[in-house]
Amino acid sequence: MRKLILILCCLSFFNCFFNDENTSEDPFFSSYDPVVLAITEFENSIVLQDMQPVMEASKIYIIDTFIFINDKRTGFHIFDNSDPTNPIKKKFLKAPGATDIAIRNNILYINQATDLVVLTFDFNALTAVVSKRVKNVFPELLSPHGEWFYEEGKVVVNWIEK
Amino acid sequence: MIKKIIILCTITLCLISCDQNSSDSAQNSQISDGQGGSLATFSLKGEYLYTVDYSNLSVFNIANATSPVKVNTINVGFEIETLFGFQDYLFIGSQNAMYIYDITNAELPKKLSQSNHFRACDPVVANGTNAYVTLHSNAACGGAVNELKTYDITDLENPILLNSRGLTQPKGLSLYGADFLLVCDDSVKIFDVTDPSDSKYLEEIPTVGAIDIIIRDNNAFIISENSIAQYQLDTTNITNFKKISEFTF
Repeated sequence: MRKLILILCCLSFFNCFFNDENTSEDPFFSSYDPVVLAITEFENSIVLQDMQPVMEASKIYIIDTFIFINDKRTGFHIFDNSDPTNPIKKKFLKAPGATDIAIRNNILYINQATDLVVLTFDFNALTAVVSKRVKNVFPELLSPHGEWFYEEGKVVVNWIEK
Repeated sequence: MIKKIIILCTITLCLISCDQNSSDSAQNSQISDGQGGSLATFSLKGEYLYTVDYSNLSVFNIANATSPVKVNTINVGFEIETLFGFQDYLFIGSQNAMYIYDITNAELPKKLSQSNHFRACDPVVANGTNAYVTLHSNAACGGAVNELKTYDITDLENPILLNSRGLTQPKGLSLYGADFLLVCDDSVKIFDVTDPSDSKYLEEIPTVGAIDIIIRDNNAFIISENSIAQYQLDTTNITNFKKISEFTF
């Protein structure tokens, strides 16, 4: 029995060695780079823009005749769906770091990296105003492999594969 | 005679309760909440916004809508991914478990149970009797399982695994009424879950790269890597779905 355990241990060590060749889980050789913004830039980065191409479709949220589609960690594409046979891509709510949204009436709640941001949205005029930023209520973004980045005065808004 | 009185009383009670229901919904109709998919990490309930991150469940009081106040943070576990609210309960999906919390006391979520499973990504949806979890494996999630798990949650403190069904790489999912479950896999697969312990595969809505699905009334919104597609569903004949539109990115 002891021999068996010993053999298993050896095998698992071998496993580690072989994995090192191509693994990206080794923190010293990460296959992801952090995308960072200076705090002031981060806190002023939410902007409602003209429509943009969809790069990496992620989550979906619907309210009344509107569809919000998160572009992973960059923002939300806003579609006017008053005619479901012909949804129209109207705007892009740029929000670096955001993945999720919840909407009650005309109030949008967004997780922007470490902050919860509240926006007041005008669904007729399609305008948005940041009403409140609740700072540091969410943890810093980790890379898909669990890596962590810290630099004074900077906020990680994404991790990009090298 | 006594029977008649009992019947009369019952009817009256029913009417009263119906009345209360309708007045409740009338009050609620002033508030309009949007709807997220099964991959969401935000959930609105009453005067609160619930969120999950890697390891925590957070509670924000939004009685003043534009000024949320974080009132509680609960350490749930590791690698939390999704949050699904149903009535007074929150269903939390992590890479190795499904957690159920009671939010009857809104600011103090109480853990009812934890059902562990193999390492994989796992959104969860639920109704009054059952919870459905999909597990999928990929580079980011790790693991080697791709399946749909059905739990009996009549006792929320002791969910019972009814069955696991192998799928290709299932992601988001949504219940349609009490009888059907739609799962984003290599196509959107429709299951009859009238008998949850013996769910039956019925039909598929051909979709490439489906990520998540929202069903509102009889309309399905399917987000995939390259498009947002909308379908009209029919409860009386589930295989009779009609494509309304598809917006290609």
